[in-house]
Amino acid sequence: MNKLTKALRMVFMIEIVEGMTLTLKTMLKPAVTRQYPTFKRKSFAGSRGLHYMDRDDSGMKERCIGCGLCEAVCPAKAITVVTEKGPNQEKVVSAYELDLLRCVFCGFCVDACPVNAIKMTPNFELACYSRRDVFLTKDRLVAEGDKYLGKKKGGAGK
Amino acid sequence: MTDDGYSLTSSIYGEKMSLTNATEKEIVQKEMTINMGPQHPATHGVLRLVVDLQGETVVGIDPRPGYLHRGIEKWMESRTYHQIIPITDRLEYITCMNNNLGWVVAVEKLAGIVVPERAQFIRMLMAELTRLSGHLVWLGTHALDIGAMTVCMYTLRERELILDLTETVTGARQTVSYVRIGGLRNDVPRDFLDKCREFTEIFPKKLEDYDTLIRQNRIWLKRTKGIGKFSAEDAINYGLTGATLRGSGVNYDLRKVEPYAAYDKVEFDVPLGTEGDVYARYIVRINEMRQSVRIIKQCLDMLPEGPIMTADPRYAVPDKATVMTNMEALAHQFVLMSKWVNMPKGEVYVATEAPKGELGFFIVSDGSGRPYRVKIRAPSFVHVGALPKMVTGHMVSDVIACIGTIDIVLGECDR
Repeated sequence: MNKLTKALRMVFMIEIVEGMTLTLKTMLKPAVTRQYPTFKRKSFAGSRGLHYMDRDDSGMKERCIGCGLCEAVCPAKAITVVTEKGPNQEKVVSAYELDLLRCVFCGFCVDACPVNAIKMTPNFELACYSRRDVFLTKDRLVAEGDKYLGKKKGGAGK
Repeated sequence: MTDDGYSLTSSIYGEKMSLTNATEKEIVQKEMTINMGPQHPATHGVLRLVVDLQGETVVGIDPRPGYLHRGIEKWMESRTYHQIIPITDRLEYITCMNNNLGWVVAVEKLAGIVVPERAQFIRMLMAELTRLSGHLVWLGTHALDIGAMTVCMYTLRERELILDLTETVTGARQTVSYVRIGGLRNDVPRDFLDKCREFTEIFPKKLEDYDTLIRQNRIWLKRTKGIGKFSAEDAINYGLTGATLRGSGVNYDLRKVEPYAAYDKVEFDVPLGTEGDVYARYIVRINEMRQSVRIIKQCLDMLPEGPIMTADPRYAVPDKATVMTNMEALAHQFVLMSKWVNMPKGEVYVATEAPKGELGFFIVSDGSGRPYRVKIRAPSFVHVGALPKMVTGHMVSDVIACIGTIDIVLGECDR
């Protein structure tokens, strides 16, 4: 019996028919793919994408205190922090530079920051035309934060 | 004109090519050496193979890896134990979680860190999800290489579900950097467990679909049965591990032999093959996926409550709330993140069962926060070494089937 079934399966190409049936069935189902630039998936909370810098409680300047811990922990050495003495002998972050071309988006800087200054958005669309565009300075990081948080608060619906 | 009947140089000088003079038999006897790769879609990366051919039969094959060498082992010497976690993502870039886990388990053994139960279970859960994702990529590309185009579409569809699950937990799809020394980066989100349970309900049905497509397909059987045979003895002698070894019938799974994470607390079988050919390994990996689903289901049921970071204050990375309120935690955060704490002196080798095989990390510690030397025992590198034995005597097209069956990733092979 077993041999007979085997022979019949062989002759009538049953396994190929079964495979084709599955393919045809799947063809009639709705597509699982998305036409990417037109339709975008909702991003997950906590996805690691473009960085931003939070503002401090006054809202006038960045929250960063210039401790340099993110610079120390960064395995790709993408972050540079420069500090200097201000007019009232306080520590001033004169430059905070993040080179996205070196960044590996591991999120270690976010984990390390003791004041929650550097954070990440779920934005992964970082393609650009020049290297200058992916070299984030302090002002640009703060601006990215304003853009992201404003969108989040205002609920622009994107 | 050479004595073997034809000469290509003669045509340059306007002489008539004497290829026609050679009889068919002579042409077949002529041995030819060709390059396969490094830029070849079927070599799964940049593997160069120098193949000696007699007609269409392979008489010798010489793998030349090294095109993706990035000096990772040397790089590790200049980074702290903590900073090395992201680079392990780049070893075997399809199943990053297992690499993270391999490294962290090795460091924990070196330092004698005890990891809480919940962290162990989440690690195991994520590692098994990643193993599924790795096996799906393997199945898709392996079938694609052999000529079954459709399977790849189906496997990548299911892989997308896994990557979404991974992203909800870790924040990244592939390069996760999720496991930390002594615990985990963050706990799983609240809705993750339900989503994961849903996935374990869907996935076995999808596995049946793959079986429908290729398991009994006559072309698939002709291309895989009896190809790349390895006896159990040879497989052990060549140092094969993982599903490549188990296809030959050797019961050796590091999850059973030397349980890490919480593998000793869950029940699962180790699927074995008998023939040791490409088809046997295919069956083993498919069954392994079923076992992975079984492990994930048990994890979801047994997941205990508790902390996700070790209680050992020396190695535990303090959480953000503590860092912001506690002076000592802040100081410790600075030490851990900038130079890591001094580790015990000594050497340690820990192997874990990655989807490709035995992934081992050998660490030599000189007592500082950075390893003195790290050696990675990469399964792909060992498996590439078995390729000559596997392929010799078969046809050129079987080379592709054999590369697929040893399941290599060149990022790990060349490091």
